Amino acid sequence: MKRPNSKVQADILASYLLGRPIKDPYIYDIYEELLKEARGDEERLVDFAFSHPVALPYLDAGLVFLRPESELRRRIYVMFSVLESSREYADLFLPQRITPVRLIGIFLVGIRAVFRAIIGIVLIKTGGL
Amino acid sequence: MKILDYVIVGSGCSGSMVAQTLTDAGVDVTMLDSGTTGAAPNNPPVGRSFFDLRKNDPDQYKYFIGDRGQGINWGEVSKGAQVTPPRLYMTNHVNKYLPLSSKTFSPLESLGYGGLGIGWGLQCWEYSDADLHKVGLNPADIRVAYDVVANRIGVSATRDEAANYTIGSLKHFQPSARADRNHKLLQKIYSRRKKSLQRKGFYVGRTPLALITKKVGDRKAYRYLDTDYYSDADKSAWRPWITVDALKRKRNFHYVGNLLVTSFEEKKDIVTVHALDVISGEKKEFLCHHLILASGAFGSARIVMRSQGKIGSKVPVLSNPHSYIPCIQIRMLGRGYERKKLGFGQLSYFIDPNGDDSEISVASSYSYQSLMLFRIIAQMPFNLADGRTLARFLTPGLIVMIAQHPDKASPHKYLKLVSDKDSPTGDRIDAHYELSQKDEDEWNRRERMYVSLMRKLHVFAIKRVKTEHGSGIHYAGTLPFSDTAAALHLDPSGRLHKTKHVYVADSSGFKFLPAKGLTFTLMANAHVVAKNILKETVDDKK
Repeated sequence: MKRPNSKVQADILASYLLGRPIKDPYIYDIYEELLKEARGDEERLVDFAFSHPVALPYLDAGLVFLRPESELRRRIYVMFSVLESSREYADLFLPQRITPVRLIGIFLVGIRAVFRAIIGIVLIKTGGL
Repeated sequence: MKILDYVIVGSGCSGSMVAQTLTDAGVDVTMLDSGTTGAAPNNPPVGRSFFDLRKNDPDQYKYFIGDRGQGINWGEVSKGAQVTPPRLYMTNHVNKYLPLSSKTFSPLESLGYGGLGIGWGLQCWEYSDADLHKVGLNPADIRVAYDVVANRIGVSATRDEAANYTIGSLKHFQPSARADRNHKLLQKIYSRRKKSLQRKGFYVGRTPLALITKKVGDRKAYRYLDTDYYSDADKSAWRPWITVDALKRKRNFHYVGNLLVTSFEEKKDIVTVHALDVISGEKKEFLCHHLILASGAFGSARIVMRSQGKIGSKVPVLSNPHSYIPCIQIRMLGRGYERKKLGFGQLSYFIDPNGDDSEISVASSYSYQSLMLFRIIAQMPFNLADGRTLARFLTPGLIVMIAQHPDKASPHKYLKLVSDKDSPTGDRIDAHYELSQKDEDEWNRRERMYVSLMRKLHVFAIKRVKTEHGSGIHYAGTLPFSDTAAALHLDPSGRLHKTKHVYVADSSGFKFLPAKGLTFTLMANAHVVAKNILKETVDDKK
């Protein structure tokens, strides 16, 4: 598995976190800068995640319980922090006023998070990631 | 070489107070300070609210995460978790000039202009008489000094149910800033149940803050912009640099920056002060009649141990153990964004079953909004994508409590100055800090009590986050007060034993560290030490 370059990695992570493309070029620069602190372990897991972006939500959720300080989660966290500090995405991070319909949505997201964690734990354990 | 009258080392909370007392008395004062300052591009624009910045400012990443992402911390909650990029300059040069090695202790030190006061949470709690005695301070002197300091820095407070624990007998204060909606609700529930809660020794009141709510001189009244962690532009929150800047305009005060004072020697009533230029590395010397160390419990201990050839000796260290307790107030969930709010601590919580305000623990609470989601998201048990959606729902009701506990000296808490040829000063500190099992159990018990009592206020703890020892940024006790003339100890006036004209005006002398944050008391003590020095000078002349 060949790992994509940092720009493509950043796009994959932004798409996972927000479902939107990156608009501010500085986001790529900061992500690349912080990749310099990347640990060399978990190569297989990181390679797998970037070559199978569809698995990212499950791996992220499973790692919360198995290895919360893993390198893959650090990269996702870095991208989360950079996206949050961008004007373009501010509305997606600021507290939201909840209506009854939205409350149902929140409840479903909570259920999805649990489901993703279960799948993620199985995936990481059985896949030896 | 000119012999200076009064030389103060350090521009932090103690240094600025001792400097003002001496300068106001008309004597000639020189402050020697490393004094690193912040880079302008990382400061947010003046006068704009957090909400406005988030919605409209394309450069916000520079002050929220830093222009190179240097404000993004990954991993355990550690020292300086609340220090934001515009304030990161407070730690510049620290690793190089103040090397410290430890596996058990993780303190934060500063060479910044204003010292650790740059990131102070502004709480101005008074210590009780019982605690002041244990600290080694004279309650009568300190009570007077509390009012002097409150007048200088501007304290806002409320004489409420918990006033005995928060402001004691303080006379000079402005009204508290308006509490945010989370804390208004909390106060309302507490006032309905206060009789039964107070019977259990549980008191809740407004936190006194070094924050002005009415204009004073060029300092503006607090504007509820919620940018308190990023900017001091209005000067409504007091910082030591505000006082030092004002002193610089006086003819009898002189500030010399970029200097790290390393040691001193005293011969025939003259003190020679040795310093290192932190920019050029050049060594410098100053002569003075009186030297006042105010470089913090670590800084002053380093200078004294080095000057007295105490390489390899141990000195005690005190630091408040503390935990973060994120809590949820159910009724506030999903309430959206509060545009104008106070960003600092709002309420203080005291559990005092004996009713004597001695060796109690204290908690303070903050609503979580302007520190951004990324600082808490990794603590939540969700994947980060779903965590974002859930956190937006939770944050309006999220209250972060910080529980702090008192600390006493023990053989398992110490600093040792050891040789280190790689350090510019030729040495480093090796630190060790270990709580006894009995203390650990007691602090856990008290935190569980907080969690249980908060439930009665309809606030529910999510978890307790234990922090690294030393990360609470409260340090003391390295050169304890002693009536007998022992080396590495202070006499009750603040003078360093075995010297005639060297004083320590910070928290180094404290023999005990109450749970209530020490800053207000160390400033009061700095004023008292300055008064003692002036008195002794007059006595010497007689």
